[in-house]
Amino acid sequence: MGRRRQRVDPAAGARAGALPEAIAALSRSLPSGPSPEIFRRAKFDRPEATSALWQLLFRVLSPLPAGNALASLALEVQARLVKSALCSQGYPRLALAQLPEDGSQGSRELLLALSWLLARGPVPEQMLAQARVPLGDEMTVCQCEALASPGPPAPHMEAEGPVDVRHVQWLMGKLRFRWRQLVSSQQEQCALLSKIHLYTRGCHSDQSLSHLSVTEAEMLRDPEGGQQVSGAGAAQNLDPAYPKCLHSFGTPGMGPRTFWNDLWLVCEQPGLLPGDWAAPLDPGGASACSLLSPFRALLRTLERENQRLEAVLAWRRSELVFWRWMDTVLGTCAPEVPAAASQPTFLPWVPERGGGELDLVVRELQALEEELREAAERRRVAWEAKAGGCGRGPEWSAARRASREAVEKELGALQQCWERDGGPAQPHGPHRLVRREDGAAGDRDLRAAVVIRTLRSQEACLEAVLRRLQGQCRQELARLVGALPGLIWIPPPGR
Amino acid sequence: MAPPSTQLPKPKSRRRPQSPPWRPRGPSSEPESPSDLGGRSGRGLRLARKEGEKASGAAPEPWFRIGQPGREGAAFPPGRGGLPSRKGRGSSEAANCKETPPPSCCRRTARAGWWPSCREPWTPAHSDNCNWSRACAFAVGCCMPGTRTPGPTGQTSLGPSESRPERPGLGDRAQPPTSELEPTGTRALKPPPGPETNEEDPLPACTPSPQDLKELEFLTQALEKAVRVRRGITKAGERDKAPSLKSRPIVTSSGTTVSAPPHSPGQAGGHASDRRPTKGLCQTTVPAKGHPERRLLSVGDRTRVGMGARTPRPGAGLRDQQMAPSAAPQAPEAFTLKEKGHLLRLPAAFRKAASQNSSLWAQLSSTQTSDSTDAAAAKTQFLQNMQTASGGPQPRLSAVEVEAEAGRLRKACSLLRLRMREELSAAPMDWMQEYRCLLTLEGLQAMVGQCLHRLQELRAAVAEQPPRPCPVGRPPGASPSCGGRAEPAWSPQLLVYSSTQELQTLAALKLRVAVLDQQIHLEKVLMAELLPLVSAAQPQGPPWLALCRAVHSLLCEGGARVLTILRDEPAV
Repeated sequence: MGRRRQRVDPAAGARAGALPEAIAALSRSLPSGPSPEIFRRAKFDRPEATSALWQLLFRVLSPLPAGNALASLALEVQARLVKSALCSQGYPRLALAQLPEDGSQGSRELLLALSWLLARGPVPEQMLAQARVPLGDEMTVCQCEALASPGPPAPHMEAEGPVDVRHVQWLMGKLRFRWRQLVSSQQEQCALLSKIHLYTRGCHSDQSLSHLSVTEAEMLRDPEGGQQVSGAGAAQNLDPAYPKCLHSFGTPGMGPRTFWNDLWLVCEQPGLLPGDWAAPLDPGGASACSLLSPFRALLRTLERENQRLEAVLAWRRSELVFWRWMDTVLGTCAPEVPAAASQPTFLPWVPERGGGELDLVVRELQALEEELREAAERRRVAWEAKAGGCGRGPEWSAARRASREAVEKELGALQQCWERDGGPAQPHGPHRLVRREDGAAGDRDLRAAVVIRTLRSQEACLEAVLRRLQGQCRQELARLVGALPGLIWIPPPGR
Repeated sequence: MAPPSTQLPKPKSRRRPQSPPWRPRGPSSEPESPSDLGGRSGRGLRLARKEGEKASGAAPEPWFRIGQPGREGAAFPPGRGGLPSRKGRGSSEAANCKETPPPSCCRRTARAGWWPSCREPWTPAHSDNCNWSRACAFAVGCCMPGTRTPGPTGQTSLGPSESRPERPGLGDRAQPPTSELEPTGTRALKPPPGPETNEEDPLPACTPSPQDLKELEFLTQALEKAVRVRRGITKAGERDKAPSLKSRPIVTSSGTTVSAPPHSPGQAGGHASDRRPTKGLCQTTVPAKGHPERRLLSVGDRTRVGMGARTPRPGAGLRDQQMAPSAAPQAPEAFTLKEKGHLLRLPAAFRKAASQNSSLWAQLSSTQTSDSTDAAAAKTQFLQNMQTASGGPQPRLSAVEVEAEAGRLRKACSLLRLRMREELSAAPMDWMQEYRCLLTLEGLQAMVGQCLHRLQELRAAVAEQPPRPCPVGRPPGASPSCGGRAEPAWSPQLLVYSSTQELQTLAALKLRVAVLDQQIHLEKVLMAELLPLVSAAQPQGPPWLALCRAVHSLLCEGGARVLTILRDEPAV
């Protein structure tokens, strides 16, 4: 390190100031904005930096909004969660797992862990993106999610006793009812949303957006913040079909309903003419305006986000210095003894879920293989019977070769879709909804029609899977009960 | 042959169950008059179903008599919903829930007779809190101060409906803050404090308990009483001019601001009707006391979009209270988004911040792609150093990686299945196409084999790895994101839609896919749980038949329909 520094001597002076700058930029770009001093202390393994670093790691590793109750967990709990999260991500150093959880020591280890995370991925960007101020009306479009989601985790609830099947039926009916409720509420939400977009077209300063979003319209409608609901409601991610809604049926409608209220208010309720909000804007009138005003709150969060964005950009420019510094930090640590035998406790490192999940995928793949074998078998027999009479001329073999090549190419493209980094980037993540009557979309924009087409094919496929499963059940039940004499089974009329 | 007793089910043949063990409702919801119950139970069921289909209440309100038949019911003209009908709906749902029987069929002949028609999916009609909270939010919400119709004289006329304009609803909706009117209005009436405090309770409660129902009952009674008293006062023709202290709004837990005094039934009906689509442009001038005229614009032919339009407006009343005094000297014009939405302009400060924001995000995205190679190399170097310093020769397979790989393979499975389906559904035209189809199927088969192979390798690798001291469990919420994604662009991309209908289709399809996903998952779980149950049970007797029917319904019909079993007994 020292040698290198001598070699680039002319820049050494600049570098002396570059490291604090880089660290300051990093700490400004992280959510809670830890003091840069913590990094310096952690290098010397000072205990006073420990708790701040545990908390910072917890924030980085738990993708929860800051206001969540989990943020106020005790330090021990946070430390335990950090350890487990790092372990499941494959963090190599064992020393971390052995740190005391009371925050009394180990700040250097924690600094190493934080750097490990920073080196692996764009942590500040991810954290910013997670907590981005939702200015637009967003809808999450993720083609991969629907296909790759493992579904809701299988409940491992042990029933206390035999469960009446009637209760299951009752629950199922309830679920069906909720599904329909969700559908109708979404339709309504979409109608209102579209209305707002329609009515405010041409209002946005950004020409590509043209119209206001609910948040913006709400801000204009109620600049004073007369109602408390607006802040919470407007900040919601407008995601009608986010599967989470389905999985947590706790109180469906409560959130959306207040949100509709806002939507409805924005859409239908007469408000004051714009111009009124001009008054609280000037500094003189600021005292009259409460701090809770949605407009000011929104503006403030936006400005704060801008500051953090600038910090991230500064960090990106100067991070090289940081990594050189971290090398020296790592150098001060004694190398760990790879003595696996001396490890105190052995716990299963793969959570049960991982193993169970693999089994599930295996079963699914096996079922698919079975189906494919049957289908291919049938086709081959049919084809050979038919193709027996065909000529075997040269054009025939050429056609065969062409077909084979075409199919190979096609299937190769299919394989790219799920491979690690191949394939065209599929649309993914939240998208800002924009209404354009002509449907004109830029290169990077996603068209609703395209998404609809994909969803339709997904729907058809899932329906087929469901029908197949139901058919299996029907056969199985028929086998179980079919032999009984004296009973006539009348299936319900079909759809 | 079927004996006569095994006829196909009819709506009338529904029987009440003998107090199923899971009945979520207490006795307090029991309607008092049996005849009344008989009259509306079927209707209640239908209503619930209808509500499920379109929870948006654009449809006219079915009218129900409230819990105390004969006492107040006559005062509400049918078809004019408002408060009493809401309440009625609440209690009818309660009754309805009692009526919705368990699919028990432990009778001699099991039959599908609970439902009016087996085609109709069974909706458990109730027991979801949102109905309740809605019912009670409506019960109080329709007497918000903001929705009061000003009389022609500018005073809030609270008299019976005959003294009102024929469609008061028009003015209602568009009325700006009128809290000035509040004190001048004659609000001598107030409900007893009990219901006031109680009405907060049912909202947060998750399932309406018998106590909630009872409290609702009390609330209704109190409101009825208030209505009676008011009517008496109106008849006397004398009004208390003193501003009533108790007309202050009550903020319920949902943020609904509610003015306590109820309106007369007629007025309540008026509010119900104001949710209907209105026709024409209604311009009302309200010379309110002590302040300049306010023009109220209510735009006609607005399509009322169901529930949203019916929900109580949160905080409207509160806002009214706050803004009216300050607004008075400025005399602001009424503003509707539809009329003047395009005139809105974002404040300059906001515009500046927002454009800065988007340009910063764009910059971030561009630096993301053109990450400086030096920094990238330094990072890789650091990671390597760390790996060697920790003594491990090569990085272990972490749980997250295993999960990501499993997710990828799952995705592969779905895609392969999708492709197979496409291939099988297409009818080949000539032998060439047929040949291609065959090749494709065989290719798919080979790919599935590869995936399986990869999966076995993965499993072996997981099993081989030496265990590590690692706390089991993961931080809450740290579920793996969708597998196989590229780095997302940081600046949000646009999703362009062209019409309301397109947006609705998109949302509906998204939900449909999610629901199907869940249904498949449920199907698998239920298959694993229920099929052994059937095969283990003794194939004898009505309980077994009932079980078969229930399992068949759940597994083969998604719980929507039930099959019928006839016992073809030999003639005695």
